[in-house]
Amino acid sequence: MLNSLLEAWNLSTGLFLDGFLAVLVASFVLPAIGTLLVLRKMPFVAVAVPGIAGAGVAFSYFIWPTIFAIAYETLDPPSTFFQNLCAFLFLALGLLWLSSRESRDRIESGAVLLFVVTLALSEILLLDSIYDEFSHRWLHHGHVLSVLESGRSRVIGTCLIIAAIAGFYRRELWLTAIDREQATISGLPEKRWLLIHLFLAGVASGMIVPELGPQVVLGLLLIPATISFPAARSLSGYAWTCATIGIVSTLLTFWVSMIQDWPIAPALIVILAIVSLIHRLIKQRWWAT
Amino acid sequence: MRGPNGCGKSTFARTLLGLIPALSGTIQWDASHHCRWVPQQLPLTDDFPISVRDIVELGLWDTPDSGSAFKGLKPRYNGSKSMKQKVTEILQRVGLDGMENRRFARLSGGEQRRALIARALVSDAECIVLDEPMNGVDIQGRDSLGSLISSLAENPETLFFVITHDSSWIPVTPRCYLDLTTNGEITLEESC
Repeated sequence: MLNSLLEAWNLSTGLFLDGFLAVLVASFVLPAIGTLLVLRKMPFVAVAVPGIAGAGVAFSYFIWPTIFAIAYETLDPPSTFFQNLCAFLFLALGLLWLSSRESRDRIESGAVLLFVVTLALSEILLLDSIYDEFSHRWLHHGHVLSVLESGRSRVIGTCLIIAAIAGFYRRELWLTAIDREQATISGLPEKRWLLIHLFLAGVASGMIVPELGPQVVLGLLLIPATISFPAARSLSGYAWTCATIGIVSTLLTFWVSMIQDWPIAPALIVILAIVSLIHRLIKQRWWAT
Repeated sequence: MRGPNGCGKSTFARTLLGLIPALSGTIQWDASHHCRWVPQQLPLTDDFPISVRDIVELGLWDTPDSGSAFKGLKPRYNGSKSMKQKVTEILQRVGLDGMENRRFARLSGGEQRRALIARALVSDAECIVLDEPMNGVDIQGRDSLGSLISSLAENPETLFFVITHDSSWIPVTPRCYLDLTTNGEITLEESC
């Protein structure tokens, strides 16, 4: 593994170094910012409706190619049928599992994650299918491998500024998210700190999305924070855990992408989800007490 | 403060603390920077990632009296011990020693109330307002929580303002009773 990693690294360093550095720094800062969004239940409110609608769209997206592949199998490589079937089953089982959840918040956040991960999975699974045009069009949404030096500096600079502000004001942001009444008594106007929080998330999106693409930014902001939420026990531990998941997932993504020739952005989303789930399972099963 | 359920005890206290605007009249006592609020519970889900230590530590920070909100919170505590020691000491005082790394939302009702009282105590507040501290607390918990509140209330430097619909659990005689009725009457009864 190490040899193949080093070989791939040497061959491709010049090509993707700027993009790699930009994603690496973003993968440390954005998941920590994402924990603030999840603590305020903001992704549930802001993304739930399009997320649930998106899950429906994704559902039909996979069921239709499956029927299509059965009806016109001569037009399709045989493996595509199984790929579509796998993606369809993944989504169907995910929706079935979500329907058993009691909390509405969790159903909504789960639907959002399912949507984002399924779309990313679809990009990887359908690379060689008759849906090439879809996947190739989507690939252009994330420009991770074509980040220039100026873009890299912009991403790293933005991340450092956001990290400095969020780190300095972490108590204010936590307190206004957790206990608004005590925050008011302590002299913190909740709405003003909500705006500061939105400003941070807005700057992160506005400055980083043009360089790294919406999939990378959305994935880093939401996936580790949402999946790790029940496994964390303290606020700072939650933020550090998500930042670590971001870094580990990014390193794995670049390695897997080079080995498998996968597009970076969807691969990052899938790997973020896998690493976050593994962390959550380990933490809940073996470190629960 | 005593009164039947629904007579507006919590609303009155919230108004006093500036958490909700008064419907009429004016409040001449600025409670901010002097008071700490111990609610019945925090609106957190069972899996919310906040530890008992996090809850108590947040009480150590406050906005400076004359400061702009953008300056943020400053440590209210400036004693010789470290903040960590101070938090540990307060947790021992309220009977939560060894539980500082437990998830707050997984504690029992009585333990959560103790942690919130610890958050109020750690800030050296002049006034601590407890909203129905016995709600959701079992019988054993009631006895020990009642004793804790009574022992803390012996400190003459801190005003304990307890909201309850049943004052029989209070083992000591309060300095006064403020009685509210459902038709809006308020009476102040000095007990000593």
